[in-house]
Amino acid sequence: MNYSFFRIIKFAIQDFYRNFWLSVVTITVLILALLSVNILVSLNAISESVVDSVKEKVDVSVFFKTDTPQAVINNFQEKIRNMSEVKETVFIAKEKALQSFRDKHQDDPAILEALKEVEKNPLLDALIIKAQNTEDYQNILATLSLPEHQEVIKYQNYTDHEKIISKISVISEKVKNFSLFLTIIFSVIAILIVYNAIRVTIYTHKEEIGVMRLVGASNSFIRAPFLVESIIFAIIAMALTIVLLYGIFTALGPYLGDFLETYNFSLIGYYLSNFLPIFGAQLGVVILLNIVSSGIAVGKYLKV
Amino acid sequence: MIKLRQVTKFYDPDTYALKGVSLHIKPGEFVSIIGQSGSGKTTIVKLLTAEERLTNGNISVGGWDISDIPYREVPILRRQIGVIFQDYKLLPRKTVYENISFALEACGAPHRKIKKIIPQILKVVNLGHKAERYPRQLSGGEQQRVGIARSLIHRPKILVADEPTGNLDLSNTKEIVDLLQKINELGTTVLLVTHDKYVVNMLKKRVVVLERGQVVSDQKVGRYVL
Repeated sequence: MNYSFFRIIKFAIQDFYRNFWLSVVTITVLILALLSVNILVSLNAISESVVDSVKEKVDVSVFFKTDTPQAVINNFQEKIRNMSEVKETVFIAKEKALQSFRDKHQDDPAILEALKEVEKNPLLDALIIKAQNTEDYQNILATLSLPEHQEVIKYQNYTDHEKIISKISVISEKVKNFSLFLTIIFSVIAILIVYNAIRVTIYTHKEEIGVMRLVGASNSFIRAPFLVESIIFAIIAMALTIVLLYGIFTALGPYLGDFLETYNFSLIGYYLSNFLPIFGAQLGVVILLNIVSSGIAVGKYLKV
Repeated sequence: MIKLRQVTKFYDPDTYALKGVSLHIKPGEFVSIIGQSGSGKTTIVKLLTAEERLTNGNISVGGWDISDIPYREVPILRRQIGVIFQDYKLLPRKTVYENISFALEACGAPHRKIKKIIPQILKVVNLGHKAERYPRQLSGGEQQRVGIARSLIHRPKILVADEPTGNLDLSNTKEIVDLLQKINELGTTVLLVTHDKYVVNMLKKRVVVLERGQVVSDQKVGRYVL
């Protein structure tokens, strides 16, 4: 029977409880490091969502000439939809457009009166085109400018959108680069904090480690409980961080709710749908870091 | 049992802790090593437990040449030599029972065996009623007795005591010395390093005197003469 394995676990748990306040402090430091990383993750997620949401609102609207046959419009829509750059196309018939217009201005009698005066539907059949990426609009616009397409197009609103699209691409790129830079900085800081926290914890056991060597314990028998204990720290810290994050997001909900709803984004929803990748990766990194830190720190005091 | 042949230990830049020391301790002997501070007494203990490495010469323990003992074999050596330290060197966050059992757990001894041996050893050192206490809850003499119990747990053939009474009062000192004598009578070779005149004169055993890293006297029934 492998007594050593169970003894190692027993020693790790014993040491955790018998140095309870030291364990609490170590876990607290780990939690703070994890929280700082997760705040950054949240900010990244929000900024990406905001940028994506704005991008989502960008589209190119094509208005067809009056009396363009439906079959021609359908053919045109099919052609554009088949482009690899196009994400989706939505056809809005002029009758539907008129009804939407009426509904939008139902409280404005002047406009409704003006519509009655016109008698005929002044609006045109329209095709709303959304691209896969903002960079794809150039190709789409180039395709729309082809003579065979210009035959059926009365006008298209792309000029202003072009400027917005271009600006959004630039901002999006800058936000991504800045986020990456911040993530790297925060990660390095978090790693250093965790490494030092574990080293300090092991330092308090310096003399004990020496005594264990002097009474004939092998290096692996001395090291193993500290490695196990560092894993326990990581797991507890991660669990408490998750609980704290949930509490923080719930508390911030009323303040951020309106803002985030505009962009159809929920922090809790984001974390839930990416639970394993986000927290699994963090747990893995913290466990690995704790083990490495613990191993290095204990190794220093085994030279007896 | 213990053989030192022309053992030299040099510390940079210019200190000889031991200079050409030769010593032969037979099985079952009780030998006291005395000398002033810095004479090399503790260095001998550290060389025997491979805490330090000798510069020149040869050391063998029970026929095992430990002069160049590989690092990975040091724990095995230390399980075969019982060591008692002046500052007790107990694990502060383990109970008396756990301090003693740790030495057995470190070599994978089964739980049943440990449960059987520990009470016996605690009885020998008269600490059976304090098994669940922590070192901070014990007196100096009691802590040293725990140290002795731990050193005996592997039933070593050699017991090395490095100033075991250094931090104790007279009555505790006598208790410890009596215990060491009892252990020696049971067949264990005892090497006692001390600067306590009272202890040496009480024992009336072999006395080796060190001075500036060299053996200056080796008497079969010696007295404290410094």
